[in-house]
Amino acid sequence: MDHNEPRKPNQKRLSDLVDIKTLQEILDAFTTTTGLMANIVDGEGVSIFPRKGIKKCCKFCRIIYSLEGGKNRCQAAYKRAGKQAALFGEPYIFRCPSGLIEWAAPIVLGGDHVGTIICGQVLMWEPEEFFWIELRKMNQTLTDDFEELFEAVGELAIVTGNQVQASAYLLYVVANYIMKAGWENFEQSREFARQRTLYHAEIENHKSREEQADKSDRRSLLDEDEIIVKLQQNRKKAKAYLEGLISGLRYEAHQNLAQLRAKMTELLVVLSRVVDQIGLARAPFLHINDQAIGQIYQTTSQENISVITSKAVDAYLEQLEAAAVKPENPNITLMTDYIDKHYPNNLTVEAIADAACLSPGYAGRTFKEQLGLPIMDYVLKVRIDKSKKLLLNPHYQIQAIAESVGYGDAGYFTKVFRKFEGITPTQFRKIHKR
Amino acid sequence: MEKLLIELQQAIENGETQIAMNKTKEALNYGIRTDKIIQTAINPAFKDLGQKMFDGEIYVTDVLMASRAAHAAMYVMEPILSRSTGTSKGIVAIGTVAGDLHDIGKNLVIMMLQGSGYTVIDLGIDVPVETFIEAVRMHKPDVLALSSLLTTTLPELDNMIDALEAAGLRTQVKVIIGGAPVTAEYASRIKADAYANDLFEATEAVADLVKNRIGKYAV
Repeated sequence: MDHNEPRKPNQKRLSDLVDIKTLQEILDAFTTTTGLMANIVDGEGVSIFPRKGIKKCCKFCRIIYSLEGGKNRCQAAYKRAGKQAALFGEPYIFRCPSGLIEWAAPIVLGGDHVGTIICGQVLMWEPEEFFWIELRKMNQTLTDDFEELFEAVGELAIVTGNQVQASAYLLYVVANYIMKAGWENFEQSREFARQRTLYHAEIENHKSREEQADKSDRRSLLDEDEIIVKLQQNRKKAKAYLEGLISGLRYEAHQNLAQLRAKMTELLVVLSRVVDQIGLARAPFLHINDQAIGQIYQTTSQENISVITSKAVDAYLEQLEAAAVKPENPNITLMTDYIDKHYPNNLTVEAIADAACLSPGYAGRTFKEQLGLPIMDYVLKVRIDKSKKLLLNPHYQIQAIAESVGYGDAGYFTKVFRKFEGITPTQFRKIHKR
Repeated sequence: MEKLLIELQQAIENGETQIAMNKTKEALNYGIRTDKIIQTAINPAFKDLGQKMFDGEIYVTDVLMASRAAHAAMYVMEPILSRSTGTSKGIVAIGTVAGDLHDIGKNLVIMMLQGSGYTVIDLGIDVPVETFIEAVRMHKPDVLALSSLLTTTLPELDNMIDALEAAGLRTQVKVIIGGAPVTAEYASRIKADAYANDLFEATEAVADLVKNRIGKYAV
């Protein structure tokens, strides 16, 4: 009976987006901390909590509420306060029509004002002569028997203006928290809807494919070679392909939770194997899998499982992109930059580690972890690569080339070069002579 | 006597309702006229509060407390005000325009007008154009007082005057407008009859409009 107002279609309801029990717990925590009543009302000023659950009212308000016309007056005041608070996006402190001080914090989701937290039902003064006059004046349209109401005033909390300001601020923080949670849920339900659409499209796809194909010749959707190719395409294409895989696997699971879990897990495992084949460090990808697979086995919602997998796929693509652009570790970049700049000089591990402000031992370990070879081998590689470029130009003497890449002695350079390339610099020059 | 009025002003600014009541009683006992009490104690108190609010020195809670203290002072003066005027000086319909929810300022104007002997029809806040038109038809007020506290609702004042014209009611009623973003220039541009900057100006301007005088607040 509280929700007899017609609701606009598509209007978001707070109780659909945030678990009502959670909201109640938040308010209870607020009440316990501040000693103040708090309630959440919808855009029409009606409490979102079932009547039984309300201990959100003081005795004074319960009396007003029970009087004829009282309930409507309270709701209209809350509706108005909520509107005001939403308009300014900040707490609104007001005097209710019955004479108490209250304040409102708006809950706005995606631009819609879905609810208001109302708090207060207090006085900011000791009841003096004028207060009783005021109460009569303000409430004479509801009743002419003030005995019970006046008695209930004794139970009202009396707080200072500063306390009101402070708890209005606290309430505002709480409202923001609820908004954030609600928004995430709202986004997630939109994602579910999107997934559902994809899923149905994929079912249709499969149906038509199955009608044509020979059923005995069905292959697994997870073709590693194909995935390798797709992963190395641009991110948008790779994402579209992988989303298609997720939908396809979901179809294959036939609404069976255990199968769906297994299939999504398999997809993630295959992905981690594929990135290994591409030659990337597995650690960050295994971390993505650990998290996602854990979540897949925690939730019982099939839609959730698709969303988790889809998010893990996003994380993969992000990681792939990052790996393609630069080494993840800025320390490594500092060291490789230093090497690129100073390879013609006499280089030591200490000097290179120093460039990244690391100890030689730690620098060496990190370097090998990230790039797969020791620091000095990398230096060697840089020197050999540079020398190869120079060797292609017949005007340079071997001795000059040796000196320009940091080897004073041509004999020693030749020895290192042969060890690295399997041939001497002169042979290299001959082979590559145009 | 001066000291008493200063103390009353202080009590209102501090939101000390009981003291405000006592000081008002005392002032009346000393034979100070109600209009002097309003002009030299209550009105300056709100001017002060307005400035402090603007400067961020005080909060809304302070204004709530102060307006309550002012109401208490007016309550004490009410019997004398209604006795001294006897009959109503005129009818004023008042409301804030659609989309605008501010009512502290409007309520103070109402209090001042009632205190000065006018019959006030409070149309409330967030009032749509139709309601204003309806009220003008039904109550035939001498003055229609419109307030807007937001720049976003300012154009509503213009719409309101157009609507009065369209309904053929514009000549029947004088229109006064006010509120933080409103200026005399704006009032003149939209062809309102008067503009008031504060409570006291509002009361004075209404007095001029009711008597059909071109006063200093006419635009």
